[in-house]
Amino acid sequence: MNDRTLDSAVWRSALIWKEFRQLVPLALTVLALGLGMLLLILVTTSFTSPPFVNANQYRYVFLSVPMIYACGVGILLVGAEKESRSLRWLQSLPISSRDIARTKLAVAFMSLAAIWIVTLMAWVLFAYLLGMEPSVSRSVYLVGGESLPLMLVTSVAVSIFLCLAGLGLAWYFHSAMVSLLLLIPSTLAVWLTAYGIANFLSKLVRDSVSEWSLDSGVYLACLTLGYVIALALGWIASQRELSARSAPRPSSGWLGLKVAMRSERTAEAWVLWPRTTPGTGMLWQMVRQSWMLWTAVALFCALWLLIAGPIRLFDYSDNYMTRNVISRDSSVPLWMIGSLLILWMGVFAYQGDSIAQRVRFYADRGVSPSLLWWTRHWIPLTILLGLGLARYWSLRPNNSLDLVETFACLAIALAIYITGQWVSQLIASPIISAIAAPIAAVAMGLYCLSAAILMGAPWWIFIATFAILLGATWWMMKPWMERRIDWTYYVQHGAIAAIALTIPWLPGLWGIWNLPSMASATRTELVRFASGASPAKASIPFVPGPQFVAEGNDSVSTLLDSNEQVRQTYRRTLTHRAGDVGFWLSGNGVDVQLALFKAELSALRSEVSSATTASQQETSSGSDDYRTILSHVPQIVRTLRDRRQLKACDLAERIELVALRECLQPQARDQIGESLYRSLLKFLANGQARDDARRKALASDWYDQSQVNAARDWFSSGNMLGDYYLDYGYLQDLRFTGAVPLSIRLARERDLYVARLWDLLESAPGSSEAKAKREVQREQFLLRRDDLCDVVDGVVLVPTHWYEPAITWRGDWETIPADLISKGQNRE
Amino acid sequence: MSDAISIQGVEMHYKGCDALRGIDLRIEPGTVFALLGENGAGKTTLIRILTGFQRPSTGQVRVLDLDPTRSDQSLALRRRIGYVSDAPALYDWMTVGEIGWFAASFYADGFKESYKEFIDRYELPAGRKIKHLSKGQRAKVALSLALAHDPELLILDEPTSGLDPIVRREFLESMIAVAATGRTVFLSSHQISEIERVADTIAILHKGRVQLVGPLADLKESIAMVTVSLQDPLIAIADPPPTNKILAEITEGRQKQLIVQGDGQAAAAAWRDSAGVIDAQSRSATLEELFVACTRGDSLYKRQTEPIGSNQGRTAMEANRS
Repeated sequence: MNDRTLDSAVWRSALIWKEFRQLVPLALTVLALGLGMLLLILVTTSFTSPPFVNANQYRYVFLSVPMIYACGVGILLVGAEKESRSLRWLQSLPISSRDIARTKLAVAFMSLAAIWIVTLMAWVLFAYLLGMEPSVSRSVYLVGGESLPLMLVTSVAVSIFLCLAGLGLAWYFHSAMVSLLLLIPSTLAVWLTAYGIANFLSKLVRDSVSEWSLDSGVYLACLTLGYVIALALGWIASQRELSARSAPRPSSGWLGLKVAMRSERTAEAWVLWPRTTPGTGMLWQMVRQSWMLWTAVALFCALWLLIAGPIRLFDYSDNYMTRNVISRDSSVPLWMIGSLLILWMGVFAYQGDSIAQRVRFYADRGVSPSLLWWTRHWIPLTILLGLGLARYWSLRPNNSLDLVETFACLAIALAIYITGQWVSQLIASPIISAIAAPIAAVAMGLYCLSAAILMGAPWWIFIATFAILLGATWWMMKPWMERRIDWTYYVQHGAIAAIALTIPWLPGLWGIWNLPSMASATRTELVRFASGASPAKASIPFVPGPQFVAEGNDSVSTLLDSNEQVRQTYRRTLTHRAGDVGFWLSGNGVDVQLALFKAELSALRSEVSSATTASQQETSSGSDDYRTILSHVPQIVRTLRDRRQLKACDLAERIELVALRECLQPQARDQIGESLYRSLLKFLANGQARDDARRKALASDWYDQSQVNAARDWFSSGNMLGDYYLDYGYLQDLRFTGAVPLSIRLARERDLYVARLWDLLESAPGSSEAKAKREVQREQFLLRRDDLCDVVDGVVLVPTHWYEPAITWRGDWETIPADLISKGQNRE
Repeated sequence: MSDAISIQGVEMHYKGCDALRGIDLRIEPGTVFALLGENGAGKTTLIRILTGFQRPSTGQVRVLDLDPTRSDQSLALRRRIGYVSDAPALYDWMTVGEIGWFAASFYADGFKESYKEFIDRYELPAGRKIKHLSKGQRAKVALSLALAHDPELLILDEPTSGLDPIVRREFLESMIAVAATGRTVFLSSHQISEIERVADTIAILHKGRVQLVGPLADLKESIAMVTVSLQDPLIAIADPPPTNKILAEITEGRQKQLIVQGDGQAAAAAWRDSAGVIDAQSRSATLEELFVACTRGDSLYKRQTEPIGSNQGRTAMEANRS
């Protein structure tokens, strides 16, 4: 049997099958976690129509999956086999060391390529399923933006380097976890080299246009060099590992004496060591066992403190640029690596004992699970605390915000650590848990963010979430250390995690639950008003006129004062078109238009009042223009009211306010002219018509928005009321308002908001009840401003911002026209 | 016919530890050779050298006329040997059947069929993953894998560890059958009674040195246990007759147990006549007594530098072969 020639294709395919099969758990874990992350993103933006899709925002998920796989593939193929000693058995088979190494290398590459293909296909499919526009999607799928092709190429190149470096390190080092850990400095070394060379070259070239491609080119070149080095060193290490191991050379001379003395000393030293408590002994074991990790952590912490420590994350001043070695943007990789290291500290907390079931040593000796638990956490948590304090010191704190930032960073670091230790108790394989932990941490971060955005979860509630996850590992310590890892173990872990993850949603859900619904009577009234005459929401014809870019009354006045030609043009337009809705709703923004209107009326009034005699006032062209413009007010107000839109209605009222402001001037009766003055006051005093318009606009906007929601067009409707964006005071992101939980809450909040406004109209203008209701209404609104539209010292203040709807409703100004009419009648 | 295994002056030194201190052994083909030794004696190190996983610090090793430390010869060697390590680490995610299929691809035709016979004989569930097997079942899988290609030389490091008594007995008997077909079996073990049953030749390894080597039958015939009762434990006994050699000496109160090479009755008679000796009795030494004497008594280590019985062992092997 032995003499027959072997078919190399047979054993090669068997070997390749074995290697591929070995990678299946890693591939599935990485793909599943990537998918989980995508689903999480989808849930946060769920049920939106049109869907909230932008491939660029998902590209990091798609790009990170193969990169993470690349980190693990080499380590798993070699490191895990070395640790489990199955490589020894493989060596005992008649396969050459070259064939073993070559097969592992080939399988690593092939599987990485397969993961890339699967990921890219998933990317395309994902974009397609979410209904991206084909014209956009064709380019966005693979391109997405200007830098995406380059990013894709760089990602592939980095993943190849990670794969090769992982293989090389795993061949060289006995511990797979150490190899994984050393991937960080290896990758960083390439990046730093490329960064240094690129900066050097950019100084030589001085070509800012080609800077990015130059950086990428240098980076790719450095990566290529990295391939060669990793491949060569990996090959040498593999052949050394797989061939007969050389006997260690005996030390001679001084070194030999030193080695002998040291071995003698260490051999006998333990006899003299004092008896310790179990806790101290276990801490010693923890330090001795993972000394490479702690050394790496200490070195990185020192480096990080030196380079990135003094950078304030929340400091937007330019000072940091001059004080620090690198900029905040350049320090991002250091922050990311720091986060990864903290995460792996969490993973190591348990996996150090999980390797070869070392933890059974404690279980067999009846060591308390609690004691084991805290001794595993004592050192990493001390390091984190020490790092936080050192960071605070490195900031050279000069205000209380530094303390807040330190606490925030420490809290984030703790959260990352807790996620790592939680994952490591769930996944049995040290390598797979180390690979899965970053994805889990990102998913956890996204989850927290979505809870904060969607449900308005306060920051402090996440303390409970992470405390429970930390407590979960304590609770499950006994079965874990006794290796009773079966389905009940996972069910219990899952249940605790479900509780932890539900907690951030509770305040939001509680809020929704307790939000009072709109009274049915109000709802009926709103529907009745909304379903009246169809609103005149026809498209608005564009009215040509002068275009201004100015903000605020002062700047508009300055603009008009400094440019007489513009003023004349604008005055002409205003004189002829002030009653045209197209003039108000097109061209300049309504805020600018209103400011111009107000400023021009003031200017005209000044011209009119500068004419000394009544006859001069009557004959001046300014007076004509002044009166003509004011005469347009009733017409434009009615037109705007007829549009049955809240924002148009508010504009109409602001125009009314401007008109009222003119009527309140001392010489108004003369300057405006008696008949126009009277008719204006009469129009302004007609509160019933105004209220009717308000009700119709409010009902119409509310109803339209409800119809939009009913048609499942949740996107941009969750907190929209007509053209207004409603803000209720908790963290919201406009892009996520279409998500189901948030949109339910926002829709209910909007109902209440509308109901309160409706109720406000039930109170009489100027009454104390109206004032109280108005105050309550405005209290609910986050973006409220203090510049009220009210009368102060006889001057009507016209609000200039458009954040808050119905700001003019039931202001003091509503009673003034009637007062003025009655005063005029008394005078007569 | 050349030796199946030839070891000359092999030493292996680690930092602060001398694992092997000059091993010389020659193992004839068709024998069951047992290497005995207490924990840390150097058995596994020697086996690692034989299987080509470790280069010795000094010395020469030939296995089936090949140098296992040379990469160009190690492949050919591994095709011809079957090896079970002291703690066989198999791919525990594979099933019993899968690992047989996998290993079969590296050997010539017939492996799979033979492997199937073995797993059937050991009643191993072919569809079960190795990680779900008991320790004994794993040992059986490892043995099946080592035996399935019918190797010329079987190197087994503690092969019966974890096996139940019935399988252990079956296995050991199969080793005799293997040797009967001209194959060589090299095994290390602590199970002296089993070794006694199957081994043709034994070697006792102690602190990196071969203390005793030779055909088991000859060793039993040529070595006797002499128990000497003394009036006072401090009395030193006289030297044995010139034809005898004391291999080991164990003192327990007023009794001395001496492992003596040569005619035990003559030695006992000589000591009975010595002053201060109450009585002296001789009987054949068991292998266990030999083992204990070789590994416990420092006297042996001090008095003897050459492996005991090497000449007789050689003679016995030749006799065996004939």
